[in-house]
Amino acid sequence: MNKLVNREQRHLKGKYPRFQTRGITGTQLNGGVISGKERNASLTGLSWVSEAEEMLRTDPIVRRSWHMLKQTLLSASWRFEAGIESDPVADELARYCNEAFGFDGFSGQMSSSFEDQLSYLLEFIPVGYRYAEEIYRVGLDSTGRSRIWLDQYADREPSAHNRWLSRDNQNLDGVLQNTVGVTYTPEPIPANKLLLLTLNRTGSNFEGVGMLRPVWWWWRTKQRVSNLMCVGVDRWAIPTPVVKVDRSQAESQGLTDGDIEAMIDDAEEQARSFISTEQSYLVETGAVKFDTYAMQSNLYASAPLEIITKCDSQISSAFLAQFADLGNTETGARSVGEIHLSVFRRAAINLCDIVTSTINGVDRRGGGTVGRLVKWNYGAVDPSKLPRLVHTGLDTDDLAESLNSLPALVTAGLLTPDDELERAIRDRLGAGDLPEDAQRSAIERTIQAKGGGGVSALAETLIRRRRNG
Amino acid sequence: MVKIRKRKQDFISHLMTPEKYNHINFTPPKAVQAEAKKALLVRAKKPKSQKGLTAVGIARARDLSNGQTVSPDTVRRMLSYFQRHEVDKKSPKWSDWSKGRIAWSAWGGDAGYRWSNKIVGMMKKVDEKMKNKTLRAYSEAVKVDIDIESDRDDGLIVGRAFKTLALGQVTSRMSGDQIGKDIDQDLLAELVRVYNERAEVDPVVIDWQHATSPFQGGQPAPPESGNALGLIVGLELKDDGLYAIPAYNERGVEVVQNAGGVLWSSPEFITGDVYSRDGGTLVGNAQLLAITLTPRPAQSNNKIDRITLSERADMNIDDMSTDELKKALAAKDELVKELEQTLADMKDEAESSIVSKNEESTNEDEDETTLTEDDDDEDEKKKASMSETTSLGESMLLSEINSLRENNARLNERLETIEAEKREIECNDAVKTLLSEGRISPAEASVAAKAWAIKAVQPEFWSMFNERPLNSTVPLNQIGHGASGQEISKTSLNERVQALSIEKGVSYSEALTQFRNENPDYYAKAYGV
Repeated sequence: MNKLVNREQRHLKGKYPRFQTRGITGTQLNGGVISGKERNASLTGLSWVSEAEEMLRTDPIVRRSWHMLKQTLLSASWRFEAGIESDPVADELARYCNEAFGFDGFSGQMSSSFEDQLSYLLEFIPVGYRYAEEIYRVGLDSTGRSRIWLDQYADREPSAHNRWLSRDNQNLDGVLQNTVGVTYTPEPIPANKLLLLTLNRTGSNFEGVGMLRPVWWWWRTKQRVSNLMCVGVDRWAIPTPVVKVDRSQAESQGLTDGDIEAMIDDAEEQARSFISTEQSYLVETGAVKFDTYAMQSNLYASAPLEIITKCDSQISSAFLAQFADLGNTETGARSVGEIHLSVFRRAAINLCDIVTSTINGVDRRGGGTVGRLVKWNYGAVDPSKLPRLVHTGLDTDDLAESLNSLPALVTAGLLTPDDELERAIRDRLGAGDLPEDAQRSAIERTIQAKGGGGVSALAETLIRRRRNG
Repeated sequence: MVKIRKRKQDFISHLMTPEKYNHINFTPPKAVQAEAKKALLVRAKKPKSQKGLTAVGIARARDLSNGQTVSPDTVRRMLSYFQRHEVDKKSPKWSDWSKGRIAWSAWGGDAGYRWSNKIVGMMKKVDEKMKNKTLRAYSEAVKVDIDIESDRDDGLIVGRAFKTLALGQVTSRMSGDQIGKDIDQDLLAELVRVYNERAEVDPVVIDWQHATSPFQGGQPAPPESGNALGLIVGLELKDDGLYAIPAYNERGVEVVQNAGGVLWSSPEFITGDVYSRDGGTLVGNAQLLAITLTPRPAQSNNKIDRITLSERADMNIDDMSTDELKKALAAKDELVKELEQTLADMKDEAESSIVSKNEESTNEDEDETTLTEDDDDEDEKKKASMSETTSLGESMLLSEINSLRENNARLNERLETIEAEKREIECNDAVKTLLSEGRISPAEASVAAKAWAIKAVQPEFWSMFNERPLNSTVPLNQIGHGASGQEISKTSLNERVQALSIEKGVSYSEALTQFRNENPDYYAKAYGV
């Protein structure tokens, strides 16, 4: 008991930093397979990958939602910035990286553009993870020096993934892909040759949780409801035929009971073929005729359609693309749409940040392309000088958005419309520069705007002239 | 024109083929020709950086594509190439006609491999049979100062003399055992004596690869058999060995020229009592039978000089190694010194001659008693003229010496520049190779270049870079694949067998047996075999 108390209270006695790692990530990684995170066995490993790909292939709402997000992400602009401003080493490293990736006016050293490669790299978002093997090559840079370049992020499809390699079942050492055919057995790809993009990664769960995972139940429900609706169409879209016998007609024709039974059997066969759409016509006799139970079909589709609409809404919400549904439903407002759009943009920015943070930084497992390239080409460099991959074009412009409220702020005296403010607005709007010698004060600007002169404006002009001699 | 050249090459190849291989057809088959032709076509379409092929490879491809008969040595080189480069087939770029693939096809491709293997095998069988009958000739050739290059009446061209047999004992490379008897002055003197006596009756033929040697198997072949490259027209005994003066026929000149200096001599001689063919009288205790030219002499290369037509044989300064350039520079310096000495001697001789003439003319003056003033004037003019001639001669000599010195300085400077450029190119190539192999990164390139520069004195620094494993610093190789891979495991095997069982309507065990028979690789892989 005393020992137990001592062990539990040992952490209270620490005087110095404890550098030893005591805990574990908690993710179960057995034999290279992550377990314990997903209870549905059919949604783990390769089964999940094929399920997610099936969702993207077959469901238009899933496809549309992901397409909308992906196109937004692909519209971002990318470039490298120097790690430290006005530092020659940092500037040179940024120049090299921009040349390597084809940004900032360089034609690039990759076999295909970075933006093109993003089209498959970003597929980690719906599935949860995706990795690419970094392929390097030797070549000359624009100054004629031999450099190591990144030729491409070679796509390694999750459907070809076999297992995660980790000696301590905590940290990633590499990945092993599946055998192709029976002749080619791939070698393990080391982790420091990989760009591993994971969405919602926790602990050692390298597979993360993809955006499609919460969608899956709704997608599955939508499929079931759709199937049921189709069964109803099959069953109720055609009226049920009824075979009727006119006994008096039969007697007048002198038919025997055996003849009538034979006619009924024939009519029954015709009705069966009619229902199963094998036959589109019916042949009646004088004694045996056809009728239906109801004059119209009994298909009631509005209930399943409502369920499907709900499923679609849930699918869109997983992608934060609810604004796309505003036009399809009876409710919705511009303000609500703008809020949705703003959240969507923020989500898109965060997703791009995952890409940048994985590529940036020092050489490490599953990331740090920039650190690796710089280390090989320039040797040991202060990490703070490493170039930073940044993206622009997704964020909304706060100043542009606040222009509508600008007159009210000026009227209320909360903002002075001087030349500095105009320069800032012009710069943001790309409207050209204000002349350097423009020095109009707020009062002059206000009077000019009103189209009049004014004593105060005249006085201010005189005072300024006197000051300037 | 092409046909004529082809016939000529075929003829040369035929002459270079020993008679023992007469039953072997050295003409490349059609498949080999087609493969070589294909390699040339593919290479022509490739961009410059991906063309590949060395000059030797291109020449080989052309010869093969033209269906030209090749020599036994060429066939052996082909086989050697295929054996060394077979591993290239595993390259992922093989199917895209990489440089390695082009080279493979240029040498005849798979068809060439099979053919060369077959031909070499046939040659080996013959060689095994002849093994016990082969004459082991040996030689040591060194550079000779004699520079003879003149035409003879019989149309032969006298080439540079060379030392063909050195004094001392020769030992076997294989066992270290002594080969033959010790070469001493008596033996060499006897060879020279017998040669001088019987040169007309028993001419010493210049042979190629011991082709006409009676010890190679078959009947002895006379010099006029057509394989001879010329005759030895003189033997000279010096302190360090036996020197031979060659006179080449047209083919001999061509062989020596084409060899580009990669050629050595190997004498065939017999010792003990030697009898004449015409009558069987004893002619001596040793006789030189032939001197054969060979690119593969029996002796170690560092003691063997090359066979060239003259001392001024093709010297391409760009193709020479640094050591060869240094030797050439030393030889040039020596030559300049000799020239300066010769000029100095000529100057002394001229001065002494002038002095002696002056003395003679003074004596004549003293003897004559009737000298007129006009005569005195003429004497003074003569003296002035001689004085001018002397000073003119001196100035010309000095001018020539200065010119030689300047030339020497220019050559030195040029040589140093070329050496520096050569070193830089070699260094850059070595560093680039390491870079392209992923052994070093560009950040280490400058250090690696410094290590290369001092590798002669401190090779361990260079080996720190050079002996790194491939792709150890920068992993330039592609490891993974982009395909949606097929997982092969016991589970996947089970699923496929179950599917087969359902499809065929048979039991699981029957389906497993059928699947195993039809897909043995899959089954083995699933069980990790």
